[in-house]
Amino acid sequence: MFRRIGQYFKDITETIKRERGKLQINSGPIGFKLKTQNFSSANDDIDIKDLQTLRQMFTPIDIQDKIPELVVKGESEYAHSLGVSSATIHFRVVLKRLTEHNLNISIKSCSCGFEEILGFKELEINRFLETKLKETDFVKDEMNELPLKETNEIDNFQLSIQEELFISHKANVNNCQMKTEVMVDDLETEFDQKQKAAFHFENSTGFNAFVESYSPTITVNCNHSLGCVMRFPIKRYKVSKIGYERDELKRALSFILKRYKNAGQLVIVGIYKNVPVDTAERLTFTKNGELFFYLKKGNRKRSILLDVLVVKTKEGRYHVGPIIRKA
Amino acid sequence: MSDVNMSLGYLMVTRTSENEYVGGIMVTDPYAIPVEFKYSEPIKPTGLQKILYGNSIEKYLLVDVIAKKLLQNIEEKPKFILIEDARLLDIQFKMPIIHISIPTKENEAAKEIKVREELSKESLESGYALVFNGTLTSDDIKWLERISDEIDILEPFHRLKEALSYVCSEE
Repeated sequence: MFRRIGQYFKDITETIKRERGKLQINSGPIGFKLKTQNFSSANDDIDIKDLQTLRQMFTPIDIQDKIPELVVKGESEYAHSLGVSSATIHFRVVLKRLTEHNLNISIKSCSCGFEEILGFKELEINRFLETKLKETDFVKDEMNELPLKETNEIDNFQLSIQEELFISHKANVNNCQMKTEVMVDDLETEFDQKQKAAFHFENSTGFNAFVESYSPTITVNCNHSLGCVMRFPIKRYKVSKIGYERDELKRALSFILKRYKNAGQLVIVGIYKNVPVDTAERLTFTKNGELFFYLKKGNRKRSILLDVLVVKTKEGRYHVGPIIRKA
Repeated sequence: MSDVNMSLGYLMVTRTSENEYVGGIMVTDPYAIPVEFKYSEPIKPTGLQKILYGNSIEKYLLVDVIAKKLLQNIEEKPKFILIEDARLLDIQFKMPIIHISIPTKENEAAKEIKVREELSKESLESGYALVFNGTLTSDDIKWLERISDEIDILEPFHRLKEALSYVCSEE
């Protein structure tokens, strides 16, 4: 069946060729020509027309009226009317130039001034190259027609900046402290600080050995104070009366009786040698018969040392009598 | 009667309960009357000094530091220097250093004196034993015997000890 159908179309084609019909079918694509332009207002605003305006811009065309008559040249008994019309559809597009405004563009190049005060003295700059940027105004009428300059033109533009050469220019620099503040981001964390504190030799490369001079010699200071010794009593032994004559002891006992007018019973305590009779005070006797006495304070003169006989009354009072010995 | 111009020096270095060493010298006349008294400041050796000196630190303190300093500073030059502690016999001084004791007492000092054969020994009729470093003439021995007869020759040590205790308590 398909073969027959295919044969049928093949016959039709051959018939058409044979008849040399001049059937022309315009089957080309429908072309739309659209012109666009840049629209800009003075305020760089683009006015958008409402829908009615757009409808006017795009006017529909009635195809029925404008369809050209279909002319089929040549007929065949096998030919079928195609019933298909080919027509070229044109859309009229009217684009209005809405607004055209001059656009002034002012570009200014200003040089920035930097002042830096250095802390150096008498700084002399022999060669100082100063590049001065001048103000340049660029005015462009239409943004749409802003021409692109060629590369060489751009170079010329840059060359238009003047270069001035100053030779032997002295710069007076004030004498002041140079203050430099450096802001460094501290990345050290608390953990790092603790680590450094714990291992304080971590980053040290040298060790400073502190040697302290130490002298093992021991020194001592001396003080003197005779009064310290004077605070303690001097002791005297009781000696035997064998070494003394009877008259010597009798005179010493007579001295006691005469001086103290004591006629009562006396008990001999003992005989003591070398007692400073003029400087001694606070005489004390022990049960063993030892004599203790103190020296008077502030007494610097040499004491008179005598042997003494000590007696004791019934009342418990002691009496001292010197024993004056024969030469 | 003894020569009153002659004097005796009593030298003593003691160790306090606080491990401080203090020394004193008391110069007396022949009758034990004090003429001069000098004492040292209490010294407490540091730990480092104990390590450096070792066992000899005590003798060093007693002899070389305290005793010598005291002997150099006394104004009244005694005829003899009497000591109770035999370790002070190591003092090298122009005056004789005499260790005087009662021989009946066997103490550590006596044992040490036996070892030291180079020291001279003498005894008094009053019973005192003398060990001395230096030279003692017969006259010196007689003079000491006379003194020991008239006074208690060891008694000034007691006063000296009391005086040093008093000084330390005041410091």
